[in-house]
Amino acid sequence: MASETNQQNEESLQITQLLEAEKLALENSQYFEQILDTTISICLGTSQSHFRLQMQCLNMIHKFFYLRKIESVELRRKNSTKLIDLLDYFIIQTQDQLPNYLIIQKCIEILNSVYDLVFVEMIKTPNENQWLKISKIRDFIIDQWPTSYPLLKLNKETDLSRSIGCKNAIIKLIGKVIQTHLPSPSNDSEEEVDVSTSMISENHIFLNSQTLNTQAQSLLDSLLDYIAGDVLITTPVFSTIISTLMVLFKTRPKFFSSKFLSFMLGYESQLKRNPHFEEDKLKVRMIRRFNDRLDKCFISFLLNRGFISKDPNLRSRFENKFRYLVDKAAALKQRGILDDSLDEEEDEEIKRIKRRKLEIQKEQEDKGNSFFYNESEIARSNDYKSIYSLINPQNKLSEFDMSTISPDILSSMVIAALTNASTEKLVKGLNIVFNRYKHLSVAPGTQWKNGVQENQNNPQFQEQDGNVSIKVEKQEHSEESDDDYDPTNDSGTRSMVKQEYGGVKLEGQAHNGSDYDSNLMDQSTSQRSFPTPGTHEDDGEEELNNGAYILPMPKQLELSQKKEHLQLIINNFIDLSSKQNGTSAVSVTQQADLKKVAISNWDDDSWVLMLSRLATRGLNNEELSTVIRETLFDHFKTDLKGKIDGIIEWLNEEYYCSLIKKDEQNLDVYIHYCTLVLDNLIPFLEASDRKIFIRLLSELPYLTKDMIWKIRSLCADPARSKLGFQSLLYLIMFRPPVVQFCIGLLKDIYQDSGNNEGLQNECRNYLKKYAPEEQVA
Amino acid sequence: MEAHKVLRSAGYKVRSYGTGSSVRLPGPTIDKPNVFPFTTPYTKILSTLKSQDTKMHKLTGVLEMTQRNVDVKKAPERWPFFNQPPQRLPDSEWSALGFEDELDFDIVVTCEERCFDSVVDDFLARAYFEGGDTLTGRTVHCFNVEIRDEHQTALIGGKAILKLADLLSECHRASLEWMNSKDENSDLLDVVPFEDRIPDAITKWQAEHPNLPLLYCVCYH
Repeated sequence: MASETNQQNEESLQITQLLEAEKLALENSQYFEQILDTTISICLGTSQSHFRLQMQCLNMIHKFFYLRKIESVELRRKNSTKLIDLLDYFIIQTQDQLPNYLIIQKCIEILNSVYDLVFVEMIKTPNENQWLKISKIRDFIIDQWPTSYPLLKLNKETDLSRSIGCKNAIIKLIGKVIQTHLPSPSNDSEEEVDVSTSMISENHIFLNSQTLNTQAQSLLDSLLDYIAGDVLITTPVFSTIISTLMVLFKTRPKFFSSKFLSFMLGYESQLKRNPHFEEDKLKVRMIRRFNDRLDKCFISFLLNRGFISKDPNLRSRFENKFRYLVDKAAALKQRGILDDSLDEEEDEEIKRIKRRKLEIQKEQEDKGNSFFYNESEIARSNDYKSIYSLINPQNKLSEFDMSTISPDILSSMVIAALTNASTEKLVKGLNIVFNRYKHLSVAPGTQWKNGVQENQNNPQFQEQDGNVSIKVEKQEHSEESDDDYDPTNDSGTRSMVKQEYGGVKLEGQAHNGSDYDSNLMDQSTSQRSFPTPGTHEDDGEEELNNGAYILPMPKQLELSQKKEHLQLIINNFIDLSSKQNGTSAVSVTQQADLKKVAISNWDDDSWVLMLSRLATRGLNNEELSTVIRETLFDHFKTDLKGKIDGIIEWLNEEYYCSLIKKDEQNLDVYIHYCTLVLDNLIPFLEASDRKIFIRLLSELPYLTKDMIWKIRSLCADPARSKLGFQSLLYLIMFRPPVVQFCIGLLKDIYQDSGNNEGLQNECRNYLKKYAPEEQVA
Repeated sequence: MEAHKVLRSAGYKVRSYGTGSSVRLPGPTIDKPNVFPFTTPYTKILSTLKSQDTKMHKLTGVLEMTQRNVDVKKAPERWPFFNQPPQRLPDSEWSALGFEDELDFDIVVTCEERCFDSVVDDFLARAYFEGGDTLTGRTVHCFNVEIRDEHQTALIGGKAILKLADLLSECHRASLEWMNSKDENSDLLDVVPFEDRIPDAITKWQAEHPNLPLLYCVCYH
């Protein structure tokens, strides 16, 4: 306790000294450089736990540069490059440690204030390393727009109105970068007046005007596109963009004026759709009103100050819009801000455009662009609720204790939910949960950070020479905490982890929450309670404590239920067959390693193999196998000719499986389904189906006499007799085991043909050639 | 000025301005208003009014309002419009309150849409004409609470503006509370910064004050 007080006193003393130094630097600029150097080294040398001290240092630098309390541009410019390392430390180097909001906001504003100064410095005294470093910081920050950086993300559209302070700072930075990277309209060589790429000499070793111009144009377009986007922008952000563009309107008119004016002329808040998940109608109506008012002020500014007086057509369009906005505001005022009837009275055109935008939004949602309120891939704490929750934390549902529902009902609810959820939505949700687990497992620094911070107030917490030791142990519950266990509260946690930081020494780290080593528990050392995943659930706490929790066995399904589920699986496979096209890529290595696997490439017919294997070898229940076979046959029956590949695949599997059974080799199933196939195919064969039918006869592994004799109807049909005889000819020539069946069939047809001379002649010819020993007249 | 009085009494640092070209008060007749240049001391205005038809001024409440203003500040000032001659009291009048310069505000509240438009127009002009040269990028949140210019309405409006200021202060306090908190992670994970709280706070305020339509925008100078 005493050391903590000492630390606080020391920090307060340092803050006081910094305030005095700031005053001195502002009063006497000759001390500025020295004070700045000291402040930067204090700031870099202070650990993140001394937030107030860091913040004070940054506040001072912010005043010097951003608020321009140091009036001399020359002095600020000369010292601007010193801040690069500081910005790099807070923005780039510590980005994985969940940055502090205010520190980041200050840093972005400081970056904004020094960017053009560093640019000038790079022209005067080129230093490529410094330029690369500040460019990296610049790009990193600009890439964060318009996310909720540095706050954890929720979802794309809610994030548009979060972290507004930092968002606005980034917009201003973008404005500064655009201004600096585009050439100045004047040829003024005084860099302090208007810093731009016009100052870069042609032979500069690393600054390329062309590249910088392109980057600026692209940033400019992104700002304008943001205004023109579908979603209603919150007023503070809208105001900041207008204010930033206003500066560019003056300083870079050549690149910008016409675009800016047309975007502002086209802005119509009524056409913007409400942000997803924003349910407060009054709030949305107010944002529209505020944005419209600013739009009106902007147009009034343009009209009254003569910016568009040279173009009567443009002026007239702006005047029309001005009148429209005045009328709209008057109508709203007359009705009262709480009256939402104006929302309902939109004209047909606006309604049509809005409907279209909603359709686009729906399409985007279907593509997985936005589904959940909380899409953060970082869990807010390491408990199951934080890992699995995808809804708004303010939603009452998030407070509901699911453990009060019986497991049966719960599983029915889960099954119903899974059945109704689209694949994209389910995949997105699972990916978010997966990433949260991943983050917790790969970022122990983040995971343990909460514990570290709190331990600084704990007398048992040990910090020596930068190495922090935390002993965490399994301990008996205190009686008071048993009933009120709160997973988010450290005081109620059961397990303790012993861990050392800094020394890279981990003793019994409980990554997964359940596999810690109880031998490492040490009652005598300093203790630190720490929540570990897996020990947070109220259910089964006692079992966990006894180390004997066993997951209950699921209930056995009835045969009818099994059939029902199996039918679902089969139907899913069959549905899959109608959707897929093409072959999935599989790496060569995998193919080489898994030569014996039946399916190494998933193609259009793989599902047949899966189901036929399941029917023949995967199920130990004939009834269930029959379900698969019947469903398969029913599926093929719909188009036997078109699905001949699948039929051959399936029947071959049936034959092979019957033969490899050692105890009984029974071909009944195979023969049954072959007969069914032939019975359903032959009546519908046409003369042109020769290839299909002969292929079937050639690839069926085993043919019985009954099967062969089914060809008789083909031979007897005048229109298809050619097909029948060609099939028999093929069998006689290429399948010796069935030759006698074919000869027998031919003889039988010959004898029964009666007056049909054509048929008799055909049979006679075949019999003479392939069975000369038979006596035919 | 009622809002100035109420806010000052509640402990806020306040300055008040007019946005017109001069101070106009009801005169002896409708077509003869009392017109005073800015910086005319309220005591002088009061004596002028008293020299006129006091019965009528009492009836309209002008006399009472001016008397109130005498207690609030020395003289009326004009908003420091960009590139226009200042019509305000010397800075020494305000420096004791901690104002660094003429635009050292976090919040600006206007009481008429016309005034709101003038202030926003002024900030747009500063952004355009000063550009990147002298513009520091200091943020100021501008609001308009529409109040009719009469004594009784001003009393109601003053209270509503105080409520708005209290809500904004609460937002600011709540967002900075974590600074002194030992558990910094609460900030890193679920903090709602000041600016993010404003839209919800003013929506709540508007729902409670449906007859005082609000305007809002963020300006920079």
